[in-house]
Amino acid sequence: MQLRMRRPVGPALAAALALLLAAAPAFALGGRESRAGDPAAAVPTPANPRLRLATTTSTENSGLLAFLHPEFTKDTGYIVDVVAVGTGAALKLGENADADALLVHARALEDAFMANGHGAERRDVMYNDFIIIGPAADPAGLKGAKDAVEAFKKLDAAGRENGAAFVSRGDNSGTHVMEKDTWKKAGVAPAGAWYKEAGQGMEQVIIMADGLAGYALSDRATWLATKDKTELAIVFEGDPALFNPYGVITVNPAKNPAINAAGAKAYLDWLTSGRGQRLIGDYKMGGETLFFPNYKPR
Amino acid sequence: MNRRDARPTRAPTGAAVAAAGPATIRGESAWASVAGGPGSPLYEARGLSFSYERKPALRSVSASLQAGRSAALTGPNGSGKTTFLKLLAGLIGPYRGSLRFMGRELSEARALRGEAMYLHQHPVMFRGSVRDNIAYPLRLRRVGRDEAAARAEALAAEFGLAGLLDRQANRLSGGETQRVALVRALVTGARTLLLDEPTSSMDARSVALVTEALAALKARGLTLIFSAHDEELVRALADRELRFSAGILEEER
Amino acid sequence: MGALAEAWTLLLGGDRETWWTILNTLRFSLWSTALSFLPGAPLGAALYLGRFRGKRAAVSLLNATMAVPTVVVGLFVYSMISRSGPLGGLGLLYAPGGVVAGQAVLALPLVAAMTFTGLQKLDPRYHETLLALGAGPARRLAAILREGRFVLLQALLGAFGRVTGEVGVSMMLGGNIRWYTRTMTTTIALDAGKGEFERALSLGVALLAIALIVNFLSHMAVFDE
Repeated sequence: MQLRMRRPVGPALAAALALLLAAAPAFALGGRESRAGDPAAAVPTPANPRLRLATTTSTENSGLLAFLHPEFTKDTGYIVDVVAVGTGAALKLGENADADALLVHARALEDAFMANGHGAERRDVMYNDFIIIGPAADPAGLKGAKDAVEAFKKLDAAGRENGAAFVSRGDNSGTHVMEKDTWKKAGVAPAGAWYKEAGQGMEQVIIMADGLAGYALSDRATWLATKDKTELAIVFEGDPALFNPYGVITVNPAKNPAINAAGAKAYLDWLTSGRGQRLIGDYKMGGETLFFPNYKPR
Repeated sequence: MNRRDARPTRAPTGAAVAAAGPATIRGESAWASVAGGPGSPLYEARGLSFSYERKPALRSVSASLQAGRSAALTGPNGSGKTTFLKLLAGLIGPYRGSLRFMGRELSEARALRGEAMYLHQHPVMFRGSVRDNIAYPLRLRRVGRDEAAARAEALAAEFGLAGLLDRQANRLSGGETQRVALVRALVTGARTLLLDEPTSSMDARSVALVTEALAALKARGLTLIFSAHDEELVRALADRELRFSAGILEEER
Repeated sequence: MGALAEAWTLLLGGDRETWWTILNTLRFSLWSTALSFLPGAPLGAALYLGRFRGKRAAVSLLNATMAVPTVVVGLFVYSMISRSGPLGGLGLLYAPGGVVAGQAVLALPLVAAMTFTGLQKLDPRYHETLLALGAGPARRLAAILREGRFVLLQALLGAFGRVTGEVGVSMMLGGNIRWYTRTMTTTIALDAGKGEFERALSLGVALLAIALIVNFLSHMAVFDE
C-alpha cells in the first residue's frame, strides 16, 4: 500500500504555506500601534520603551492598570508589559530580575524583599480593602461581628459545626497572606472539610464560594468586578485591619543589565505623582471607587 | 527514431557476448584491477549474525565465497537467505561477527567500492525512461549527461534492451524490469552481483531471457551470488549451493 | 445559547482585540512550526536512514521526549531564557520570542517522530536501491525527503496543530501580556478564569475552525492508492 500525494494539491499547499510563512513577519501587530490614544504627537520616545511590571492577578483583573497605563504611556512613552501572577511569583520575578518593577500588596513580603536588597526603591501607592463575602442568609452570623478577628472565629466555629464552607486562595497571594494573619490573630488553625484551599485566582475563588454557598475573603476590587456573576453578598467590612495597602517597587538594577531601570523609576515616580494618584482615585467600577491613593512624600 | 518493439528482443547468446570482450561491458574499473583472478577470496564470513529488532535472522554463519565461482543460496522463506544477501551487499547493519569483502571488513565505509551490486526480487525503477535509470549510477558518479546516456545505451544494446530505452521504466513487465535492473547494476563495472530470486514470478519466456543474460555474465567472469527456489536456475548457474535453514547455514555443495 | 450568539458577534463584528489575538496566534504558530520543522524533519529522516548500534534506543528516546508534559517543557525553557538563566541576554522571556522558542521546542520531537514513522511507510526498496547504486548520504536524504513529501506535509501540519492548541508553554513563557504575547489559548484560559465566557467562546470557535481546516488539509492532500 503506497501513499501518494495528489499532484495539484501538494505543491499548491506547499506554496500556500510558504507564502503564509513569508508573510508572517508582516504580522507586526506589536503593542505600540494598537495602544488606544492619540498617535505619538508629543510622546517622548525613551531608548528602551518596554517596561515589564510584575503584579498580582487581582490587580490586573480589577481593570485599574488597563485604565492607568495608556495614560502613563502618553506621558512618558513607556509601554508597560503586565505579567500578572501571584504575589509570591511576582516577587520571585523581581528576585530573578525578570521584571523591572513590581506592584504588589503584601507589606511583610515587600519589606523582606527590600531588606534582602532585591529592590532599589519602594513607595506606598494606594490601598483597597478586603471584605468577607458569603451567602446572603449568613449561616455563620458574621453580620454582627465587631472586628475581623471575631468574624474569623465565627467562621471557624460555623465550619466545624455545620460545615459552612470557606474558600481560601491558598496561593500565598496578598489576599492569602491577609487571611493567614487574621486566622493567627484569632488563634485559629483552620482545618477540615469546610476549609477549601483553592490555589487559584481571586475571581475563581469567588465563583467557587458562590458554587458552594460558602464564604471567602476578597479584595473589594475583584468583588465589585465579579459580584454580578454570583449570589453572594458582603457580610463583613470596614475593619482597618483588613485594609490592603499596595506598594510599587523598582527592582535593583545592579542585578542585571537588562533591567529597565529608567522605565521602572519613571513608573514609580508617575504612580506617586499628583497626576498618577489622582487618576487612581478616578478609577471607578459601577460608580464606586476601588482604590484609594495614599502616597505621602516624605 | 522510433523503436516500437513490443516484445523484448532476444539477448545475444553467451558465446557472442563473451567474444565481445571486456571493453564493452566495463565502466570505469579495468579488468585487471580486480584483486586476484578467479578463485581468489571474495567474501569471508565468520560467525556472522544479524537480528531485525531483536529477532535473529542469521545465526553465526561462516562461509567463504570466491571470485568467479557463482553460489546459489537456497532454503525456505525466512531462512535467512535474503538477510545474508543484503549483508553481503552492505545494505543492512550493523552485524555481529566478521564479514570481509576482498579482505576488508564491510562495516568500514566504502568497503565494497561499488564492486558488488544488489538486485531486489522486484527491482524498483525510478521515474523516467529506461535510459535515465540505467544512466543513473553514472550520474551519481558525476559522469556527464551525454556520456552517461551513451554508455547506458551501449550496455543496453549488448543485452538486447535497445528497444526499451525510451520506455517509461516503471511500466515494464517483470522480466523487462529485471533485465533493465541488471544492466543498471552493471553500468559502473561491478564484478559481483547479489541477486534476490532473480526469476521469481516471471513467465517462462522472461525466465529464459534473464537466465541467458546471467549465464552470459557468468561466462565473462562475473561472480553471481543469488537466492533461488528454482532448481533449474541453480543448476544452470551455480558452482556451489549454500542451503539455509532458520538462520543457520546448513550445508554446502 | 446567548453566550454563543454574543461570541459570533464578537467574531463577525470584527472586535479588534479578538481578531488581533487570532492573528497573533497564527503568527506565533507559523514561526514555531517553521523553527521546529527545519531541524526536526531532517533529524527524523536521518534517524530513518541511519544504521548504528544504538538506533532502537534513539527511537525510544525520541518517543519518550514526546511524552514530556508541556508544563515541564515550559519550565525547562523558562529556566533557560529567564534573565537569570544562561540565555537571559536574548530577552526572550515574556516576549514573543519566548513563546515561539517554547512552542518550537515542544513541536520538534513531534516533527522528528512523525517524519521517522512516516518514512517507514515508504517502500524500503527505494532507499535500498539508492544505497546499492552508490548514492551518498546527502543525496539519499534529499531523495527520501522528496519521495516522502506527503510525510513532511503531515509532520508540518501536525506541528502546526500542536503549537496552536497548546496553552501551558505559551502562558509560562509569554506571560499572557495584552497586545504582546496573548494567544487564543492563553486568552481563553484567562477569560474562563474570570468567568467571561463570551470572548472565550468566540476564540474557541475560531480555534476549532483552524483545527478542522488543518486536519482537513492534512487528509485531503493524501490518499491511499
